Parts: sequence; C-alpha cells; structure tokens
Amino acid sequence: MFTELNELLDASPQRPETGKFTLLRDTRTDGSFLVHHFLSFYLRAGCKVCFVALLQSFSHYNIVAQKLGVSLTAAKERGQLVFLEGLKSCLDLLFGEEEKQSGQPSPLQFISESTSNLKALFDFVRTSLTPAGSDSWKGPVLLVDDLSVLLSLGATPVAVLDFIHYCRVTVCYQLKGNIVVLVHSNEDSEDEENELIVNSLCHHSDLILWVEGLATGFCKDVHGQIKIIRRASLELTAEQDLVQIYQYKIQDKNVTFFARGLSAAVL
Amino acid sequence: MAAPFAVRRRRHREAPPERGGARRRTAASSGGAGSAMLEALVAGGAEGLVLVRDNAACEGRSLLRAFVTAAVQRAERVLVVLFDVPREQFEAGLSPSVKEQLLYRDGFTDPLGWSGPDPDLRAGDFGGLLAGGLPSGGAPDAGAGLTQLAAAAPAPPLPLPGPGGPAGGGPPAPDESFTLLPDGSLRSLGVPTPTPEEEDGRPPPSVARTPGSPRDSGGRAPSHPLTFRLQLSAAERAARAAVPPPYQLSTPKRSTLLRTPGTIVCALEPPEDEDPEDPDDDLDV
Repeated sequence: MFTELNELLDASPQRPETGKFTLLRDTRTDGSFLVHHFLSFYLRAGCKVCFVALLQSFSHYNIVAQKLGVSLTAAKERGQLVFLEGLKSCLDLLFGEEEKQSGQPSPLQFISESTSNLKALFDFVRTSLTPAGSDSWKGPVLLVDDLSVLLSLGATPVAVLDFIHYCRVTVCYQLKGNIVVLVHSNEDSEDEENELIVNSLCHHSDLILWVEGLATGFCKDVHGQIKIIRRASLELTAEQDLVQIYQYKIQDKNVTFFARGLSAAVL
Repeated sequence: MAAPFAVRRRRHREAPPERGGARRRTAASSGGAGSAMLEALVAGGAEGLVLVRDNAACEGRSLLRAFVTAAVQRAERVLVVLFDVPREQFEAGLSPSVKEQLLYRDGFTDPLGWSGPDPDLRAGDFGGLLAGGLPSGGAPDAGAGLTQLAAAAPAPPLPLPGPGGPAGGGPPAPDESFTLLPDGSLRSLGVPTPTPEEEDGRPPPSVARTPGSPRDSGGRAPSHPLTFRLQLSAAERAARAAVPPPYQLSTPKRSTLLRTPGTIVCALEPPEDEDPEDPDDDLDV
C-alpha cells in the first residue's frame, strides 16, 4: 500500500471503513496501481478479500504485492484471500474437459451458456465472503479488476449492473464490508455501454478515485493526475462533493503524490 | 389525468452555504404552471407522474424526501418503493413522526429473486404495483429509483400516462431555487434574480470556496482563487462611464484647433552635450 495515498484518503489499515463503495476510474492511462494499493491495504488490515481478477494472472499480482510487502500466496493459504483468476477460469470453461464441469458451476459460466446474467459470479462472491464460524477476519472486501472486461466477455450492461447491485446489497449493507471496483472510461468514448455502467456506478460510490493521463502527453516525472472525489452529497448534512486533485509519479515500489505543478523535478 | 411534467434539478452557479447546514438548490421545470412550480408540488398540486432527475454531482433523493415529508404532513398515505437504497438510508434524516407514517415495499434487497425464494418485491412486479396494488385512500406517492428500475431488469412496459413534455407548448419556466431544511422539508426560494454580471453575459465572480470544492461554471478550479478581482463593481462601472473619452473634445479645445489650422509648432530639443573627443582621432589619414 502507498502511505502517501493513505494520508490523502485519511485511511489506515488499523481502522478500515465499513460499508463503503469505492470506484476506481481511469482515463487515458492505467489505474491498476490503485488496485494493487487496495489489495495490499485490505490484506494488511486483516480483512477477508475476494479478488475477482479478470485482467492479469495470479503471479502478476503476487509479484507486485511482494514489492508492497504482502504475500498473496500466504494470504491464500491461510484463507484470507479468495482469488478468482479470470484468465484461467475462462480457458477451463471453454476448453476444459467435461469432468471438470460436472463439479461446481464456474463463476464465469455466462460466457458459454445462454444465461445472460451474472448470478453464478455473484454466488461465488457471496459464498467466498459470507463469514464461516471459525473466521476471525475484520470485514469482507470485494475487489474487481476490472469491470469493463465483463462487457468484453459478452455480458450486457444490465447484467453487470445487476451483479454490482447484488454485491452492494450483500457486501456493503448486509455484511458491512467494502467494495472496490476498477473501470475504464473515456469522456469522448463511443462505447456507450461502458459509459452507462461508469455513470451508474458514480451514483452509488462513496469515494471515486479518477486517474487521468496528462492532457499534454507523456511526461517522465509526472505520470498522471488523480482526482479524489468524496461523495459527501450522499450524506444529509454535507453540502457538495469534495474534489481534490493531485499528480503522481509511479516508482518501483511506491507512488508519490504531490500538488499539481509541484513535482520534485521542477522544485 | 393531467399531463406529467418533469422537475429537473440543476446546481445553482452561486450556491452560498445556508446557515444551519441546509443547502440551496435549483430546479428547472417545463410546463406553463408559472414560477411557483415547486411550491405547488410541495402543496400537493401534482397530478400524474412527477419525475425527479438528478446527476451524480447533485443527488435528488433529498428532494424526494421533502415531497414525502410534505405528503405526510398533508395526511396523505405514502408508499415508498425502494430500489436504490435500503430503508435505513432512505429514512435517515426524516422526523420520527414522518417515518412511522410511511409504507414501504422493498425492491432493493432482492429484485431478481437471486437470494431467496420469496423476495418482498420483484422488479418485474413494479408495473402491477402501480396499476392495481396501491393502498386505497388519498393519492399515494411512489418514491423510487426509476433509473435503477430500468437498469435492473427488462420489465414489461409500464402503464404510464402520456409522454413527458411541456404542457401547453409554451416556453419552459425558469429555474427555481430551493433549500432543504434540516428536518427534511423544502422551502422554495423562488426564481433566482440574475446579477448584473449575468445579465451582461459575463460569468459571475467566482465565490471563494474552501479548498477542494468542485469546479464552478467558469471552469477554473476554485481551490486556487485569484488574488485580484477581474470584474467591476457598480460604483467602478459608473465612474468609468463618467470619464469622457479622449476623442470627444471639449468646446474650447475644439475652437482652438479650428482657429489655428495648419500651424506647425516645432519645439526644438535642447542640444545634447557633445563629446569633446574627436571620434576620428584614430584614423590614419
């Protein structure tokens, strides 16, 4: 986890929040460093994490997590991490032998079957995060990387929104856990289905981290800008959403955040 | 049944924080009902479907709560159909007397029947609820997240009356401002009068906000406010108008110019101090 981001978000692994929906959104750049941050943050906080990883393999996340001081293999062995490797599951589903399919239904069975809903994926999330009697984890966390891949795999926007709705009901409200979801978006994109999902998720999010590439192009010292939007308008007494904008630079084991125009290279 | 009209909320450009934590908001209304649209709605003048449409930056649920509070105070029966938020979140902030009068149908927990065999309300049953299942007596308001309903399931077309649109074909009524009080009720502030800057078409002066506020309509992030003022105040504008332009000559000056035509006045400059050294001293002639 990145300590500077924790300070900006006023978050600490000793007191993780409950019932929050965090939306990670990236435009013209790759926001997956935030996924690594939240994965290591919640594992350090002692929460039970269900990670629906559709974009990269397990070893990729493991290597990055080790740089951040967390071992995903160890977390999986002690039962703290439930990892759905989407790349492997898709292949097993489409090219696997029939014996494997006679067991539990694959969470991604919507790809091969005619059912257009993501109920199987939701059932997987629910069974992973419903606390068993012997669990002593702090709170369930659902992490999805990323949601736009489900559209590419053939799910309809309505199905994806249904899945997110049920996850919100179960994880945020019933189990008092947190959800972190990554989506890609582009303001002038022609992918209307993706923009529909992003807009809908913005309505339900308590915190939006919007990562954008610089409008002027690539820069060696400033890799992009992050907009932190706290949806204070969802609460009764607050007035407006609080928006803070910072720039960041990704290093090998850390990400530094600074006010706009105050990169270390120009100071 | 009267044609439905829509109340659309738009954030007012200069929204100073009200005392007591209530914030000032603006609604735009179509239809020829005049400038007291919000007051009429709150007083129970709504017939048919009232659609509250909001955006992610300015949520509309608090307006819905205000309508619900007003309806309960008019002793009407109110049915709240929940699709977007759980009951605790919807009734947060409502007074206890209002809370106990509300009837609820829960379409939030399990609208598609995934979690159990007998959900309270399925998304597909919403049309039937509107058509015939409402409790009798009074004019119940069905507060709901209709956009969420449209996204939840491909339900059959609901029997809604008539297409939305301005009634009477007149121009849309101007935006109205309102504020929500801490007890959940609504107070209409009427049509906001445009400031002189807005009448001229220039953007209004940026209000100094606390760091981290969202962008104002000028597109400049108010977290870095200017240290100087770009717009003129009324007194300054009057003073500027009082100064005569240089091409407007006063009468004595004009007569002086006319009386002496073609005169060239040459004012010689005083001679410069000459350098005593001969600049050609180094020439070898």
